[in-house]
Amino acid sequence: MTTSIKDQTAIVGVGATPYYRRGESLPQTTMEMACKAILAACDDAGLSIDDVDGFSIYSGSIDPASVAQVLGIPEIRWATTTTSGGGGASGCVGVGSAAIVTGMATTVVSLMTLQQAKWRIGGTSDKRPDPRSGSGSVYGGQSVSPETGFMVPYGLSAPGHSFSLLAQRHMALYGTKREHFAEVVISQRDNASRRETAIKREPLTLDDYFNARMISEPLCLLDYTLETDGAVAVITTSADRARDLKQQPVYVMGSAHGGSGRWGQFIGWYQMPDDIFASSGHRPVAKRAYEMAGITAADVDVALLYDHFSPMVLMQLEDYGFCPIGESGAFVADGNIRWKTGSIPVNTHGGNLSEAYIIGMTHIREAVEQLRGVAVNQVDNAEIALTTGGPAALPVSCLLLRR
Amino acid sequence: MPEGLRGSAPPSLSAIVNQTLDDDWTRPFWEAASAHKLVGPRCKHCGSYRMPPARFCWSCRTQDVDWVELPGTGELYTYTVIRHPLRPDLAEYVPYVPALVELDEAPGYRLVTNVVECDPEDISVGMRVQVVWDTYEPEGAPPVTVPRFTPIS
Repeated sequence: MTTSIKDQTAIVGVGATPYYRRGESLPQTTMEMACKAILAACDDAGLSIDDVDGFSIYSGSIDPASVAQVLGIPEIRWATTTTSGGGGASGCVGVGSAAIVTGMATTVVSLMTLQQAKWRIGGTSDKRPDPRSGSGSVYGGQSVSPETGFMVPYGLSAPGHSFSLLAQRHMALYGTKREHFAEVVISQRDNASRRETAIKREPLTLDDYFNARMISEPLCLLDYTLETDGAVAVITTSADRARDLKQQPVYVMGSAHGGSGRWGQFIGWYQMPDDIFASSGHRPVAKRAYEMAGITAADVDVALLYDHFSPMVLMQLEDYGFCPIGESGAFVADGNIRWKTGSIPVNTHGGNLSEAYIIGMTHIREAVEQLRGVAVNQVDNAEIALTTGGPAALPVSCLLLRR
Repeated sequence: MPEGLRGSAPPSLSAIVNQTLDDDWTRPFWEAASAHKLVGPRCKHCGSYRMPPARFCWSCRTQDVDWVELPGTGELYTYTVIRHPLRPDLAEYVPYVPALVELDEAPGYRLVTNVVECDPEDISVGMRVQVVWDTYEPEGAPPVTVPRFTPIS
């Protein structure tokens, strides 16, 4: 008999700091914001921090040892992270659920904390060129990996540049247009306009979109995620325990993390096979999570899709089966992702593009609020929500939640 | 006036190649480049190409390769036009065009490169391109030659 995590665990608490413009969270530290979010999540759940016995994180958010010593947590029984970066944002809740189902831990925190003051994720990865590099012996000690010689000379210096390559090919293969990216941007800004937590609330028109500064064709400034600070934490426990706590449980129906092997690192590699190159990389995790949950895309009421770059929302719509591969442009142009009127409201919180970028945790927070029935842009009778981790290096991930 | 070919990333970025030349698995590419030859690592066992030149074939998991000389032509797989400089010293180089080119006679072998000497408006996915060798001479260090690509008119 196989053990599945399906419906065996639930998210019972969510806590967050305010969302700040980049650098404006100072003089707090990332650790301080993480602790605030964790304590707030415990409070939301009706739990004590003493109950926390596990951390299932991603993208190196915090060191569980540091949090445990600072907050005086009695014992840790689980401390894992998905590898790579934002791809694991949703899947780490699945990993925490596996810990709970096996009995290895009971109360697991997943979180992200972020401060982009001295360092920007989207900043250049180049070192300043040094005309003297290689002086002395050409065969001297390696300070860089050999692969960098095939990348650095050509100026792909930031994540957005890499996603622009995918978007350009998607446009060439399928006829996707900038108007389709604009629909994602404008729809999400509309959702953010009603939210006090959102950094950007002024409505956008199509003219605003086409007048925005071009960064890396075909992506303009509005296609790029916001740069913000803040922390969001969720707490997962067993389904049984969840029913005795303060909030209505939000059950984990399914989750998966991973991806095709030759999706690989994606950024800095670019050798993904033809049939998945112009995609989000999520098809394998979508398939496994839907199978685990026993549902299809048609059953999902609201989708919180990782939106560091607007074209990746389009590609996730395809990879999660909301529309056929290559047809996401027409799908969004028909209004399908709009909050009140769409067949699958997407990023009802405004997302990374308009509310705040906390590397995918705001998507889980919004899913929980939707399923508790307390979201600002509430989807009527929302029963099942999908959240995704970033299209990025493997492992990418997703989470299916239900009320 | 910026140095280098129109649409190229700053040529001084090439200097980094000198720091990688003690790696046996990648050095043959750069040696051929300095002789203006475009080569690719083809698995001796199954004939698959890989880029960057990793130490194992992804298809048959053996290690040995032949470095095969290629015609230097290919098809533009995708590209982006960088319009916004990330640092002030990049400002004089924008717009520059990072791209992926799939090389003729080497299925699945994609090079990261730049499309040069071409108006960005004239670039399209699928266009035929050919290699242009671009040599940069760092002060006090050996010259580095990298492949960039230009449209085949």
